[in-house]
Amino acid sequence: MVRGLPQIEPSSITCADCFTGKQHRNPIPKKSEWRASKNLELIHADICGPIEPTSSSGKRYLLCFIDDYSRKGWVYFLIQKSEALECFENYKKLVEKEAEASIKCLRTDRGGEFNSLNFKLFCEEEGIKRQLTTAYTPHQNGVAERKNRTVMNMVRCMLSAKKVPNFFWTEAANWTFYLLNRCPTHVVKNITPQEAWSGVKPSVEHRRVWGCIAHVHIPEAKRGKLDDKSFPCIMLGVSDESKGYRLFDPKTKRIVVSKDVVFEEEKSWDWGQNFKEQIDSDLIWSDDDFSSGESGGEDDGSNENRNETESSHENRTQGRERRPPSWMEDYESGDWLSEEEAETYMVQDVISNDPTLYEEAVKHEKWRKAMECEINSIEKNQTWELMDLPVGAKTIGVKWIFKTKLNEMGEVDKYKTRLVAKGYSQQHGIDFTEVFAPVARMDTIRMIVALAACRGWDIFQLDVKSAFLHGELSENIYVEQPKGFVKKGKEHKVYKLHKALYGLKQAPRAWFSRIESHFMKEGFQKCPNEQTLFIKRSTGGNILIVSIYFDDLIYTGDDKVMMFEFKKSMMQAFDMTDLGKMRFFLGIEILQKSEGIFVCQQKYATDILKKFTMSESKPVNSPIVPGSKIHRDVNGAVVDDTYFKQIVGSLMYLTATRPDIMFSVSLISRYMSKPT
Amino acid sequence: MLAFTDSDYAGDEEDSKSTSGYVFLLSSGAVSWMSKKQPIVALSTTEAEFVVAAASACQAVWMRRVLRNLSHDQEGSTSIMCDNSSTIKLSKNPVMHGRSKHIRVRFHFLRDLAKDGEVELVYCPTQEQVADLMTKALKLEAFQKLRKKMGMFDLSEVN
Repeated sequence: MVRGLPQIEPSSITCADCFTGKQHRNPIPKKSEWRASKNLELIHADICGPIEPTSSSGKRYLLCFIDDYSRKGWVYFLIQKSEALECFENYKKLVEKEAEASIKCLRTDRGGEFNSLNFKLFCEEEGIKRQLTTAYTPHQNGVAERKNRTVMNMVRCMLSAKKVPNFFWTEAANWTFYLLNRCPTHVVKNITPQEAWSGVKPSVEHRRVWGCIAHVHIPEAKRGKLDDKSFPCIMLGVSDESKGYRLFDPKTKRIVVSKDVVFEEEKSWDWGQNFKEQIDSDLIWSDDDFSSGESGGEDDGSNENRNETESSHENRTQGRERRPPSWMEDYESGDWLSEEEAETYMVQDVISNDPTLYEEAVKHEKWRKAMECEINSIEKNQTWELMDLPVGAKTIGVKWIFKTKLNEMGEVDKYKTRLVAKGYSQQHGIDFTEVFAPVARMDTIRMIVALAACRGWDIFQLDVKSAFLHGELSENIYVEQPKGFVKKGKEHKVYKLHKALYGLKQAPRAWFSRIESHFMKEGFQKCPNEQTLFIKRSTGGNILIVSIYFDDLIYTGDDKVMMFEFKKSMMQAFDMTDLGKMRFFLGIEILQKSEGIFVCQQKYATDILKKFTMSESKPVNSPIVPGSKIHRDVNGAVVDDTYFKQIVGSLMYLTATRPDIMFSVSLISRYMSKPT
Repeated sequence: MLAFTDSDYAGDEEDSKSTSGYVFLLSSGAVSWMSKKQPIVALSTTEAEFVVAAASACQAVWMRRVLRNLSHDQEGSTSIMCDNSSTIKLSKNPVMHGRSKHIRVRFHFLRDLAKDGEVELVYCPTQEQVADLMTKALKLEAFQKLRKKMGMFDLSEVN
């Protein structure tokens, strides 16, 4: 080709410049070298979403688990990614019981939901090995990713074939998994995943075209002689719990379960244009079955019948996936939501997997212990006394609250339970007269910190155990006996409260008057401009400053002896935890150093990023584009204002240590109503 | 203790209300701050600045009292740094007040506090105005400079 070219020897040196310029990704093997040889030896999992529109119960994510050996898939639907751990726990319980084996290994990507500390802890506790993909290499989680694609493709096709509104995607996905588990796959030879998993050949005779019209028979007991004998529905799959089809009645907009159904598989329902809006305003139904009056197998006779004749079919439904725990469902199906559940849900903090119901918590040793501890603390305090309810008096309900406390590193500190009274049933003027909460202003706390920094003092922190239980009540209040601690033989008796319980309207005030009088006795002066600030001056001119924030106390001063004595006397008077130097207060991390005191909210900030699934977002240097103005987009689509308000609220608290984002946060907070 | 106050003028496109902002520094660290849309429509920049000056004067009085209780008396009055010289002039010159009623009320309030030696309005150039951060979207360099002045550090600088 050319002349004069010298002889070139192929070089064996690795050249750095070549890599800088030319390196490419290493090939990824098409087939894995190893396959599981038993059920549950390896589980693939992945989350897919967020999916628009949300399902009727607000689900936005799809979490699938695939067993490597049998290739059977399970699907769960989530509102937030953070529910993944809970689903996994449920899933684990379900499949381990069914297969009588335990999960050995879990393969996921590095999504925050799988990588969280709680998830890690759970897996460690249960002895499950983790296999995480390397960053930006979803290929390594191929089985789960491919499943996602297959499922979403099928869902799209099913929805489009029968022109079903998109928010039925959870139903479609459910059916898809059901079908896929009963279809041949490439890797499992000659049998379906369902059979590989359970060893029983599944029957497919009952499957029908998804979304087709179904005529549901109305049982005799429900109709008169001349009433219609059936009504049309849309087929959405088979029911998990009972033997029957899961159907949607477009007229009443309810889910119906029935076994007496005739299908018109080639026809599809005319959903009409405005069906979606209509449904939204009418009713929210949960993704789970709830038995309705029309369901075919309601009467006892047919129930027995089914069990006898079709027991082989039981296997078919057994293997189906389980839904998120029942309390979540309660929360979604708005009409069924009882007050107490709404309340507990609000009490729940940023991200947690804590139980909300007593029935759930009592299964765990750690929570049982914590509950006993709480009852002991109440009784030690002589909070209440068992007696008969006087005539005319009302009782207030009580309930348990569960919370995992984390330390500043985000690790589990302790499991805490709290018995609370349902104070919302108390009426002003009858059950209580005045309310007041002893919270210090953020300004005050920062001033104390700044003062201590400038004088070189150390700040210490005390935590009052069950603070509100110390408050003495002036009113007569009776509460029920708490669940799980009802005294045998005295079930009808009630507790008369001597001291306050959490949740009572007067609890904070009672606690504050108690601690206030204690401080007065100890020779403190209350700051007239800030209710929660107490100052003690010794004869030698030394000073001790104490600030109260509910049950947290911070104190500082220039005399070590005085501080020590204060701590001693407080520990005697109240049940206190000595937290030593102030390190973690109201979600603010405090670093006390010789050159000054530094405050930050690193954990809080990462937590809210996680909560709003923005952990992967790119950081920027300044909070707002210079000179930018924002104005209301009148024609924009309205978005979920609660979500927006949650974000603004979370950021607002972040301004406790971040004055630099103050302007941006208050700017966006002006547009809280009807955000677009 | 040192206070900075600033306001923009008719910053809200919808109702032409201005934004107030103040920052209080105590031993070179920010302890109290605010950024808020003003409750009234100001007719001039001077009036907008007056509104925020009065608001920060209230806060200053409260903080001085708390600090006095904590035995951290400040000698002399608290300086409120303001970058609007006409506001300062107006607060000192009793003749040219009275364009509208609420200016007059605020003016009397500020003047009373100044007379009692609680607060004092002092001029400060816009570049040094820390409270600028609370009222407008600044350029990156200015933002970082003012943030430093508030006593904020990056976490990595501390450890």
